[in-house]
Amino acid sequence: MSWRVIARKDSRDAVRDGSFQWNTLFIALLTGATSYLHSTSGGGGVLSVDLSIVVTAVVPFVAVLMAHESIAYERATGRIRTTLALPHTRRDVVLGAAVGRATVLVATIGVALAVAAVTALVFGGTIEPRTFLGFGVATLLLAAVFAVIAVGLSAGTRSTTLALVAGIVVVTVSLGWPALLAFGWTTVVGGSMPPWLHTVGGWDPIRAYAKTAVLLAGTGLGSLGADGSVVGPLLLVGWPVLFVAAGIGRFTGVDL
Amino acid sequence: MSADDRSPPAVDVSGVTKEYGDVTALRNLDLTVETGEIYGFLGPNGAGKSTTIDILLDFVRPTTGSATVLGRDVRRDSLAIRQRTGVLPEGFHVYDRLTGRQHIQFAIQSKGVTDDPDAILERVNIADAADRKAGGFSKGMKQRLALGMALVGDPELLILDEPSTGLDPNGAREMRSVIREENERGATVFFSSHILEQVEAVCDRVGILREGELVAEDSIEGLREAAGTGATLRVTVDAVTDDAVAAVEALPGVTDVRTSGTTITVSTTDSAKTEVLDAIETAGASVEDFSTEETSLEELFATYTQGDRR
Repeated sequence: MSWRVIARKDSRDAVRDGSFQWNTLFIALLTGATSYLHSTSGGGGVLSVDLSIVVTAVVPFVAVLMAHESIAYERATGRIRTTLALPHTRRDVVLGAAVGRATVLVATIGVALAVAAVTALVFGGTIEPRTFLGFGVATLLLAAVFAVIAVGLSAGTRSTTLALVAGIVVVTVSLGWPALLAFGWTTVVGGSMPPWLHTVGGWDPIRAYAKTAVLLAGTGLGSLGADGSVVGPLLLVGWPVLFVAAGIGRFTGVDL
Repeated sequence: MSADDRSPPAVDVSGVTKEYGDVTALRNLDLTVETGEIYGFLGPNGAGKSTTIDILLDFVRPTTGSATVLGRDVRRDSLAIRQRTGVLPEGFHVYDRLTGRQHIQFAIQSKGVTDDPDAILERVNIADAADRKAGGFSKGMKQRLALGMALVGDPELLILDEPSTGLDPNGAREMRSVIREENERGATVFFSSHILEQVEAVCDRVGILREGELVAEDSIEGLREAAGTGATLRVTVDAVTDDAVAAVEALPGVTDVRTSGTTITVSTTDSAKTEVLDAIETAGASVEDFSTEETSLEELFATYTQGDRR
């Protein structure tokens, strides 16, 4: 499968240019510091809950930062012709980049979570294994999902700046989705939101992540809420599929 | 190498037009490259050579018309085409952080073959840079690397866009020798250039592209014959008159007429010497002296690509 060849090249590139190392260091410091504070502040509490505040804000942005260049950069610099001169379909190029970048992000977050766990153990914090594992897996998925979304956006443009801006917009809208809906409703219609709109307010990728984390952890997780419905994982998988499909569709139809 | 008449042409372009907004890059282009030949695609910069190659590789889609490569449609079966073709794309860009060897390895993995990367690097003469990151290569080295990647998997067809870019005369000669070797191995070669000498030295047939149209297509011998029967006449007259110039311009076979002082310089594509002298005398000017020079292939090329369109 030719996307594998492309994925390998793409993920090794992140190591070659040092971006994997720097980003891992940055996030590991954040999670390590959070874990340290959690462990030394006494008063119990769940490590995952404290980490989730940092993670929800930071991981999607870092994923977009690390993945937005992929296709757009190759198109902007003409390297896409070097790749497509070889027998790859445009679909393989996008899928390969998506898998490559997602792999790098998962490795980065994996290291950061491991650092958090070790820090907690060293400094006497409490880790509930099932909770932490469930939260951890969901967070790795979050990283992969936003990496893939960013690649999908990247495939739609020749401008790396536009790809970055689009990624930031998607993350921002996702973070503020319920608030945006509420604002829109009050402005346009007035009054309080009807129940169905509340439900829609839980469908963005970040709320999908929250539901997934709660589902896998088997318990409520503070700011991530206590709703562990299976809609979470479904949407969490559905969103990147949507963005990648759109990116492939656009990229396949245009002149290079 | 004689063309195999029973296999489909290696490249077959049929009525291809490519428009970018209100700019027409290719106009109703028809072009055929036979299996087993070395075809030179010649034309000044901006003539549409790279656009044609882009269409063959499905990088760019024609506005109208169609094309096949190795018998397969360029849009529907592009993957199969690129599996069997070695490509040196226009303005080849390296992956800065990959070494020379890693580039060749990427091509080998992409094509699913088992070539030896070092053998290929040797062949294109950059073996000593095998472990250096390609971002630091000179233009010539990058071009050799591009050729190396195109050679992976012993392709049936080589499509090379301006392959001698960035190469010094030695490098260009090595490039031509690789092209000949590949052709002897059985590959068809289609390459573009804006430099006549590159093409003249190695091609079986040449197509001349100008402003999106094929204005000449012939074997090198055929073009040389056309050039051989062509000539530049320098006629010294008593006084240049508008009638004399007009009379010469009106002759069939005359492609260019210039005047300077008492000299009329006439380019013709066939033997029209006596007609030219007759025309001048009939128009009232008197011929005092004349000289003839055989047209070189270069001048012929210049005429096809720069002269006024007739």
